[in-house]
Amino acid sequence: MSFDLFAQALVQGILIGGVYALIASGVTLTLGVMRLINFAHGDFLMVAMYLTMVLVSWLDMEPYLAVFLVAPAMFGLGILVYHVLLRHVVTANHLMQAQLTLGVGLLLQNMALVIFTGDLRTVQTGLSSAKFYLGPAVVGVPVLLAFLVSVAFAVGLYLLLQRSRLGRSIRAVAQDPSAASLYGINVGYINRLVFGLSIAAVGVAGALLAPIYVVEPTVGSTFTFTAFIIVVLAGTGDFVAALVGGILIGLSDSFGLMLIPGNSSTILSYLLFALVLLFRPQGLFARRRA
Amino acid sequence: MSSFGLAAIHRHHAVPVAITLGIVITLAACTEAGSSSAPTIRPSAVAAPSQTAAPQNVDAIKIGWPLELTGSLSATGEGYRSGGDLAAEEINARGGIAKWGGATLELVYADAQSKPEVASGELQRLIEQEGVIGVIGPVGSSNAIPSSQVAERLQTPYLNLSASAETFVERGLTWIYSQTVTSKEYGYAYVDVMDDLAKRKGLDTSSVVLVWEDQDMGTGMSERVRERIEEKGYQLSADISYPRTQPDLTSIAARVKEARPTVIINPAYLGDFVVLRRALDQLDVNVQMIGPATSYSHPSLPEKLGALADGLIGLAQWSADSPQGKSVAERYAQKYGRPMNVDAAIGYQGVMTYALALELADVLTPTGLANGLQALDVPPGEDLVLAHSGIRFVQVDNGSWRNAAAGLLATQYQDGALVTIWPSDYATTEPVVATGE
Repeated sequence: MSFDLFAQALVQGILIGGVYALIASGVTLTLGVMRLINFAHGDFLMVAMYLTMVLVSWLDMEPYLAVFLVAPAMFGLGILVYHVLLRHVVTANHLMQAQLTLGVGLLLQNMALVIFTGDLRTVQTGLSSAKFYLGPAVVGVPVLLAFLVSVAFAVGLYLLLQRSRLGRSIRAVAQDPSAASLYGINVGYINRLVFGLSIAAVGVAGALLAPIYVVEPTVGSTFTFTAFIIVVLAGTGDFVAALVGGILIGLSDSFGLMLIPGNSSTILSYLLFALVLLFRPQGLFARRRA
Repeated sequence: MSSFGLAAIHRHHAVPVAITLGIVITLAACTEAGSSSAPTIRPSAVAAPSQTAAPQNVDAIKIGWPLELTGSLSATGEGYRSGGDLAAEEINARGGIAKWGGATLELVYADAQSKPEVASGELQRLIEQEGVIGVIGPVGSSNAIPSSQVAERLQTPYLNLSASAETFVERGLTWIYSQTVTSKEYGYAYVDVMDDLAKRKGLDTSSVVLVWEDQDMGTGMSERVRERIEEKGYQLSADISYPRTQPDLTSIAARVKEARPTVIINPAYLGDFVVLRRALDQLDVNVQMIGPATSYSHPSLPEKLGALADGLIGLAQWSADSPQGKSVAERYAQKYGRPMNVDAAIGYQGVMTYALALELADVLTPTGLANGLQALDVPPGEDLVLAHSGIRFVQVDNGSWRNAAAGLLATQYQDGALVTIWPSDYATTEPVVATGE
């Protein structure tokens, strides 16, 4: 591999990894606080991408402004889905949660199929081909923006949890829901809020990804897998670790494509996943607890 | 690392285990119907359709068509049906099938629901209960493969319009008639278009890069591209495969760029093509690209890619402005009030092929129809709307029959409009060659 190729794979892996990390931060949040496994996570991302497409293509909005509408809308959708469906399985075992969220995912996919048909769509922006050179590597402006906003959102979530009163309540619920409720914290309210935040995070990611990738009803599944691999890699409940995990997966994808032909190129991230499960099931960065 | 107390969950490893389990379940659920094996069909208690001669003066001759009218392939299925309906209407309007006393041609549709088992079941029902003497196969390869086996067992002619894998006609099934081009014609045509543009338009072929999606379609076509490249005395400066569902193909684009391409040949689906095209543009690679029309000449491409669509060359079986496609495109637009697409044209041709074969059938039975198909030699003309030089079925290794005269044309986006540029006797506009500037 030439140095130019290496530099390109490095830059691209880090940038796309940031977006992966934002998607994974939603998973890590629901898993860490509520112990809820949400297999519809990527499908919510798909919904956010379609929402962005509607705002941009039909209402002529700039996609980077659309974020400010898509994220709150997704927050609302998250709260609604939580209230109607998911709150009933928060304390149930993981298999039950997996079944329900897989069902929600299928429902979202088929609704998208009915509304938008299976046609593949794209979101065009004025910045679509904007770029600059960083040494030998090309940096696309859309993916750079996606990276920066993703990191900013993840840092914002981190600060919210660490520095605010609400964050303290969330952490209390994460540590022990019943003790938290004894101290007057409304656990149901916190759970609803956390799920809303997690879906708002994919809302942001969806709005940023829409101009980079293509939009179709099944686009979410790829990202669900990626998010869960990152969470296993990083351990739950740690945004900084999720960021590092996301970048690791971004890098293994971009170097995989460069070094390994065809479909086998995704083997690097799965290999990483398998090794972590075998040797550090608590996550790469978490301290093992007794 | 800043963990902040949420990590309490790591008491046991239940979560990673559950996640792994969930991923496995999802993967299994997401695996497309395509990989499901052929449905088991009960050992037939039903005898093959009667082979005795039917009465010679019939009112209607029925052709069965289990087609994807709902499900993931419904858009394509509807396209085929609209073309097929137009053909049947025209045939009947000009007096039906002359050989059989002006009998009308009746298409009996069934909804294959984009599912292999439904396609096979409906095909069986059409033959056994609806009295059809021939069938046209469903659109999707995964539906066509098992259902064609049912037609074989029930000894009824099966016309394949869309399954383009060369293996489709290499299964030794003798009742299959494949009208469509295969990956061989595609693979060869990529190189032939390039060769022609090099000779006539000075296309720089000093560095040809083959970059292909690594599923059946791309693998089959790229194999034939390599073969033809060698035959024609060219060389590939890079041969790169990629997975079609990757959200980011910048690494692939960087590898293409490193080979300093002057021409890119790219068997691709629409989604991966759009992602790759954008990535190449990011890396300032804007040379001549050639691909299949389903992605490279997609009607919505100018909207999806803007100016990046200009200059792309796509290989297709039909185009609306070609000499053989023009008239039917006008009649179609008149009937439906929307432009004809290639799916409709293929459906139209399928029904037309059966009508022509019926004129040559010796008896009005599946066997008679098969004899008609084998005797068929359709020259270019009014009855041939596709870019084939004819329809002549030849038998592959004493098994299935394929159209030996199937061919392709090339279309190009020029200033946002799709025009036919190759071969020269079909071309309506001169090709414009991308210079890489």
